[in-house]
Amino acid sequence: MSSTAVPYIWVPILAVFFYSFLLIAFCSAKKSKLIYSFMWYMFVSLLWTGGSMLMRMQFSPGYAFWYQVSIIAVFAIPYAFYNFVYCYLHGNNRIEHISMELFTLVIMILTYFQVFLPIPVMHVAASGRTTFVYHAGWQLIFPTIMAVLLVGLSLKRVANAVRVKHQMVSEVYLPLLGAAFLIVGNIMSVLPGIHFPFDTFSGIINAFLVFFTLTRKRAFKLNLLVSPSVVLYCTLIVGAVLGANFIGDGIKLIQGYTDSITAVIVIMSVALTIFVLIVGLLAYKAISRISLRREQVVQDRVKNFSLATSKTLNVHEIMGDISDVLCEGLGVSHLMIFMLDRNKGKYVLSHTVNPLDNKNIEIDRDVPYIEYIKDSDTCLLLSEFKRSTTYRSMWESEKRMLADCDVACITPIRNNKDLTGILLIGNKNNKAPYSYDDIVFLESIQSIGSIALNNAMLFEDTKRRADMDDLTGMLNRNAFLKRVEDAIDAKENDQLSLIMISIDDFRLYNELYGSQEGDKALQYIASMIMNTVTRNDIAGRYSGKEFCICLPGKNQMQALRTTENIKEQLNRNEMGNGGIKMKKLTFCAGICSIPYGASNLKELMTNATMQVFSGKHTGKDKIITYQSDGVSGKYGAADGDGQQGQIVFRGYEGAASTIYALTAAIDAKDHYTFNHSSNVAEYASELAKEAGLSDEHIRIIHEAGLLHDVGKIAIPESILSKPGRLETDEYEIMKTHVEHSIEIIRYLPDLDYLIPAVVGHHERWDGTGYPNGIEGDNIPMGARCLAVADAFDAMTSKRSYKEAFSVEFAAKEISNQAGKQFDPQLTCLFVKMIEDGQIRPRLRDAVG
Amino acid sequence: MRYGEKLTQQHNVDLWGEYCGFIDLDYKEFKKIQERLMLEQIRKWSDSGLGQRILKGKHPRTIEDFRNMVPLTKYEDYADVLLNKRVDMLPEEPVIWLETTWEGGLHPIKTAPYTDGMLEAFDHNMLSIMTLASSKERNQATLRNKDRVLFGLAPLPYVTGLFPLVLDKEIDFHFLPPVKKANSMSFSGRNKEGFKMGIFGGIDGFFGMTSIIAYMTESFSESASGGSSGKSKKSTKDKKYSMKPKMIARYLKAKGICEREGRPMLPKDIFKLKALVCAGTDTGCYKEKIEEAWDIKIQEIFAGTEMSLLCTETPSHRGMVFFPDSCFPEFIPEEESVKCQCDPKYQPSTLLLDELEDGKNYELVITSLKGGAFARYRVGDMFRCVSRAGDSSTSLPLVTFTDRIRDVIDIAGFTRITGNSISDVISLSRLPIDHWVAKKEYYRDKKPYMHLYIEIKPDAVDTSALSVQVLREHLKVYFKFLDTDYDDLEKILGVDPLKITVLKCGAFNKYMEKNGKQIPRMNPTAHEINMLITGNVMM
Repeated sequence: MSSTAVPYIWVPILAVFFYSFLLIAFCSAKKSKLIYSFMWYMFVSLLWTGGSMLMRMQFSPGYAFWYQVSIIAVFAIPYAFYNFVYCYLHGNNRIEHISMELFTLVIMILTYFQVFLPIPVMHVAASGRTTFVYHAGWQLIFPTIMAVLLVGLSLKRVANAVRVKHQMVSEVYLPLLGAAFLIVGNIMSVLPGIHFPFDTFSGIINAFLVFFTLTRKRAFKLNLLVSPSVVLYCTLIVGAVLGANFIGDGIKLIQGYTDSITAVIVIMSVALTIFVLIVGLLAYKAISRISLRREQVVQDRVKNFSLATSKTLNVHEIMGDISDVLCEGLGVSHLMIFMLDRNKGKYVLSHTVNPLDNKNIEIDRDVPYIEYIKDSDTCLLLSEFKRSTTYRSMWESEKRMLADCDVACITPIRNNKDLTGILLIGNKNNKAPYSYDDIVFLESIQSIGSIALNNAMLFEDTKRRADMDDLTGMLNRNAFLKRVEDAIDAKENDQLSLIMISIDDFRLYNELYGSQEGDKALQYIASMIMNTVTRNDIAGRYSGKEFCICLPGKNQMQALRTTENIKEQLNRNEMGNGGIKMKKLTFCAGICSIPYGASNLKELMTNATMQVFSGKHTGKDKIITYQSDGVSGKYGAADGDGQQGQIVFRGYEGAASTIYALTAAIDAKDHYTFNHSSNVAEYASELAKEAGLSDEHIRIIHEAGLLHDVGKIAIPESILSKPGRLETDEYEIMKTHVEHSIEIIRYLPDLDYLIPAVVGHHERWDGTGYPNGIEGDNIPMGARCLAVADAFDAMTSKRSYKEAFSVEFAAKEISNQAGKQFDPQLTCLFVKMIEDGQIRPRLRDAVG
Repeated sequence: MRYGEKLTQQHNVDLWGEYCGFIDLDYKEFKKIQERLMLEQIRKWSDSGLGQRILKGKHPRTIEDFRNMVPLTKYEDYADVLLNKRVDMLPEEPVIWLETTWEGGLHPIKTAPYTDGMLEAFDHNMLSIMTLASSKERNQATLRNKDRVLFGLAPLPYVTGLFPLVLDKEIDFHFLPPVKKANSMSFSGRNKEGFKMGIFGGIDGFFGMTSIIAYMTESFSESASGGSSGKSKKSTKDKKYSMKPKMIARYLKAKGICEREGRPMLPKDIFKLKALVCAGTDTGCYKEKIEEAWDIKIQEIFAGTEMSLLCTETPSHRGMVFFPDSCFPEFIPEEESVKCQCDPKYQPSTLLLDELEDGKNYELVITSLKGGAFARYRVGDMFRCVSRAGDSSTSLPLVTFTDRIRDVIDIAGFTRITGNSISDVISLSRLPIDHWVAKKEYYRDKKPYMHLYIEIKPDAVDTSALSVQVLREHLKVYFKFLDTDYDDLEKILGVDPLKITVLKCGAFNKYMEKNGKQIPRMNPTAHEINMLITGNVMM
């Protein structure tokens, strides 16, 4: 290889670099006819410029070869330009296009055979300057005519596009300008006395203008073109070419210091390698900094967002993530997420960036922009929507809302075909319009966010359905108890109060006004409770007419105030239907607290329930707090004066008469059962007293004792008074007396508080009892007391089929059943009471 | 981005879609837009003091409710609120109040409030008209900034006065004369000055009342070809010296061609109009001549003070389509409308756009949208349904504006003569006219005029020197005295719109005896007129 001095060598090198760069870069772009035509244009330009440069440098395999390459490319350039214009303006004259292609092919072949221009003769002057002498013949007129024809056709096509097709002048003037540069540059390069390669330089400008036109037309995505590998390869090639150009001078320079050929070669090789690598790395870094970093940042954002949303099923957290990533990625400060409220049939504002934003915004489902995005996955730019016909049906208020919220972009959140939400995104902080990249980013987030949000909503909805009471929207019994249990287990709550609210005479209310009005009343009270309690409190519908409120971290006094607050609200607001005044609703509330009145959930619930029952018995419309010293604090307004905090003394008259009536009925049917019930009531209440239960509880146990066998009224007398042991089937009938007891008491609403004790008195501590087979602490305290007392009286009483056992025997038998049939603690206590003489056998009638 | 910038920077397909996309709607989509905007308007209007006064406490929620609950209204129903500009009674605070004459009304003018939303729709629809007017086919828009536009429509506070304001906001037209200058000139002065400027520098767009454009076209041909008037000839020669070189070249070339072809010079010979927008009564009479003279299709539009910009022609120029966001139109069949004129208490039924029948005439009833004041308002204009299913250019119903209702005689869009105004004229003139009927008729060249058929009192025949000429001159004086628009008609257009036929004494009584009823005073049918005049004419 010989080195030849070529003036302005940097111009062709720059051109080769530029063409190569674009050509290699476009190899990785998505191809279209237009992109192919541009690549062909660049390729021909590269061959022309590169061939010409290498010819002048007399590069191997010789100047003749490079001349052929260059001259064939020169004659191909007009067609390349024509082809680009044809594709750019969507030409459809295929005959013309194919004809031009064939003509150019013929010209190129003839050029190769030197029909138009023979290979120039090289002359080396004495000064060492090399010149090439061309001998142009008349034949050159053919390729010239062809070139003029192709350029003319291209210009005609452009003019036609502007005039007839009304193509925007701004879309075509850049390629035209490039072509003008090319023509002027080529003319200038053949003018005498000019050594600067204007032709090559104008080629660079032309390539730049055409490239810029394609960029403006968004014919490709710039980031995809400039990949790191493309940059590295391009710069390495160009660096090598540049370096090779200076090898001759470098060798001369090194030879000034050393004569060793090996040293020269080594130094030169190392220097060239270092030079090429430095140039390559610098270019790589520069491009990475400019565009790849941004791309990377975007990808990281999407990745992090995807990761964050996959870790949670909390709707609000996901909304926050969507909002954060979009605000940061797009550079916006206004963003609102509206989710579909199926009950309202509207999209309600569910999340805003600024907590101070107006939250009372709702969007109807028939708003035109929702109709517009309903069937598409892409986002809607407001600027584009404003230009649509659909925008004309927008209401002024809807337009104003979008303007007030500074909305620039509307994005759907979908669940399959269902539009579950919408994102309203504000203008960018730098006031720039949304770019293509912004839209792509937004659509990625929208797609990931939609899936995450829909999953979370589905989860929350399922959870809500499982936990919620359909009528009131409060927690249902199970969910409430679970939450209270969690609250008790939580270590931070050193105290916790529970309020049980039971509506007075609710059955009567339903009967008077119908269950629909009853449901409304329940909804009304539920909403009042929900609006009164704080966010940390737990409120639920415990049963038909009972509500429970758990106040974690709050004492009994705070619970009492909360209950009084609810009562006051209920007193103030009277239910009414179409102006008809309805029965005033009141409630009884029982309050118990941990650790003052209970130590676990069961106890808490039992105690609170008892206070409610107590309230029912003492005239209703009461709030009663549980106190473990045996005295209940009662607050209420039974006298109707509305005075709070007044202690109401016990009064059993109402319930007592019912109980005595029932016991009289038992007595009439079965005198033994009557005596037995009285005994059991006494023993059980004594035991309860000894166990330290409250007065209320003791009273309830006593009453339950009196009525625990009331169901025997329904048992045939033949079985009740049968001498000897009962047959299996007879025993089964006898066992039904528990259900009969419940059935009887159930229709006496004033006595329904006795049911837990009555129903459970045949349950066994080890869970093998009847009717429900419950065990241990799950058996109500009253039932446990009754069980012991029942067994004691049964053993110490004389029956028609057996003699009375001794008290000692009975005590021993009871003691043996501790932890099996009876509560071990109560058993101990009872046996001790027997031993201490506190329990003595009472009435011992033997019947039949 | 302004319309002027969009024209050069946006693709024509996008521009067309933005402004003319509505003509591609099918009727279902059009109806959807209308119904949505109506629901907004029903809520606003029903809640307003004005609405409640008409509704008497009722609250319609649907369009059907609204049509059932709101009676058909006339300006009298709004007069006290609108003439006193009682903003507190309106559905929405207006941005501007526009005016028009109230022919035969209690007050000389009618005012109408325009809200922000109405103006926004007006802007958009105005640009739709511009785009349609400047395109020979779809996806075209040839107007550009700096185009020279001659504006021959009434200035503010008439609705047409909004046109230049809207256009000025959206595109840099050179108005001929400039808007500010034009506002300080008389209507006729403005038109003359504008046309003169057009001759000097060229005209790209022309907006005007059809009758005025027709008059200008005629005058141009006469003066440019050195017609009958010597003055005209002189002035054209004078003009030539102050014309732009481009216009001189065009003038000379046109002159040569016309001389060669032996025909008078027409505007098309020297002007290459991009858009010609016309409005007004009797457009149909002048349309053909104007289009021939200017070599461009007229873009006919329909607008009014109470109803804003209402309709525009489509590219096929077969008829007009309604803008979807301007007003909600209803239509009274012609027979019902006539019945109503005989019995003012009669409440005619109305039809919706998709219920019209091709070839039939209807009286227009509009409800303003976007917080406007008028609900089921009888505008007093008659339309003909050309094609309910549209044509090749649109699938929306096509209509044409035929004329005013029978009670009013509108000559060339200038003057609106009612029965009351004719009675007043006759009474003021003290002419011994016993009976009369008036009918709008057309000359052979399709120009309109008012034909007054009168019967002189028998006892005056012997004592008064009455001839058609005397009667005409006499009545003209009082028509001009009472109606300045009538005066303008003569001054601006040079038209004498009154023709008188004196009937034989007793003709009206004979008609009454024969038919058992009186002949309608305004616009009776040709058959009724024939019955009245048969054998009794004195010309």
